[in-house]
Amino acid sequence: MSYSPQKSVFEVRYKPKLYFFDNLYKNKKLYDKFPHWLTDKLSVTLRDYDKKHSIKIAHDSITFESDNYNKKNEEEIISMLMSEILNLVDDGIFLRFGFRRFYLIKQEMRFSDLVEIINLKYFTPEFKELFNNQISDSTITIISSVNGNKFRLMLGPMKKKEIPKFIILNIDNHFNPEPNKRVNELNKIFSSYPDLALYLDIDYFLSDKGLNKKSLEKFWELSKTNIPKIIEDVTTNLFEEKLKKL
Amino acid sequence: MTTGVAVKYNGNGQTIISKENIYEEIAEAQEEQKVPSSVSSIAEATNVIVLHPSSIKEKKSQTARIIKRTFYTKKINESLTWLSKNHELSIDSTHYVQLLLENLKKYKEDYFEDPYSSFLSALYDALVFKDSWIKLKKEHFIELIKIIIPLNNNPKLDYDTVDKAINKIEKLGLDTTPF
Repeated sequence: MSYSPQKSVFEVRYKPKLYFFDNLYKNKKLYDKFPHWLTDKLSVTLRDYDKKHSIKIAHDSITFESDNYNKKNEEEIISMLMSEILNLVDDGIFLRFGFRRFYLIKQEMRFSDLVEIINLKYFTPEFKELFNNQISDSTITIISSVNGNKFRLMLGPMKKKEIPKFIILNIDNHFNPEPNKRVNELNKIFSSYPDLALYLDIDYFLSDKGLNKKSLEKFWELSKTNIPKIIEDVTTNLFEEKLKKL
Repeated sequence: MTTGVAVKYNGNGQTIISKENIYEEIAEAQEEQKVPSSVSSIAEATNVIVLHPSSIKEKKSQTARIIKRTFYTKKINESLTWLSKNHELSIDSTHYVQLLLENLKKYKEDYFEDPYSSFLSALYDALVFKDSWIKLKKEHFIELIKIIIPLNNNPKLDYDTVDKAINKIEKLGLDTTPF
């Protein structure tokens, strides 16, 4: 089963170079994709309130961020970002590629049951005995790697009221600036949150010397398959209900 | 599948279902014959449908119970699988039988309200009584796996099904009521 992320952030970091500022406003193809923009002369933020996504182009990074996952939109923008990036900075000055996604997997059980399942799966009986078998909430964080890219995965049970503290909406860039509309849009999102969910925050990244456009393209391709697979593997294992017959 | 999450108590030990999940709840309540089959709208339903909180609680805990059950059954199955391949040939059997018994005991102690516990309890008694596990053949453990997995996978496991499974253990020559 594939899950849709609640929020995505795709970031390319590079060495700051002075010539970047000469290129900042020269990217019509990318800028035309967004109906709104904001600049402080040192960076440009391209905004789309309807699609709830934005791109921030700064001296040391380009960041695509979305609060309303849509596979087609995401792929279109990130692909364009990659094809245009060498119009902003030179190849070979990249420092880090990162793709972070936040998921909420709705659960139809009590909070205490979800905590118990997580504790059963991830904590040894000896560890739980240290706390008199009374662990009422827990979070698991691991750092691992797949296909040469690292990832940090954090997961835990989450109640509806906790969600806004962990999934921070980009209100200025993704929500209609008109106050009534903004409140309605925010209410719509908050009310869509499940009463109880398994929260997963995955930061999939590659940080290395000598990163170039080719490695960026490879990173993007791998991330598209690896992130959903990690999420699916973890949730399938955690919520396994049936065993194979002999 | 019901969500059964957004509920409001009216003070009389009854639950009014929220509009959010109403259509699912109407269908389920009709299946369980708790509301007339003519109820089809939210307006009708919010006036008519009243369920006892225990039925909501039961639905919410069922998925969790099955997941926890499967967690223990996997461990039990690991021991049974090893024994089905190596028992009679290895002195390590005691280690795997010990693990098996620990997991049978742990589940029946922690989740005694699950009918599955009755089955595990019967199996535990049958194995420990006069150390009858020693006399078992590898084939017996294969048969035990064949009994346990469908039982674990049954989301609507009841005591009748459990009794039938216990009878199957008896037919293997194990005494499930020795004490």
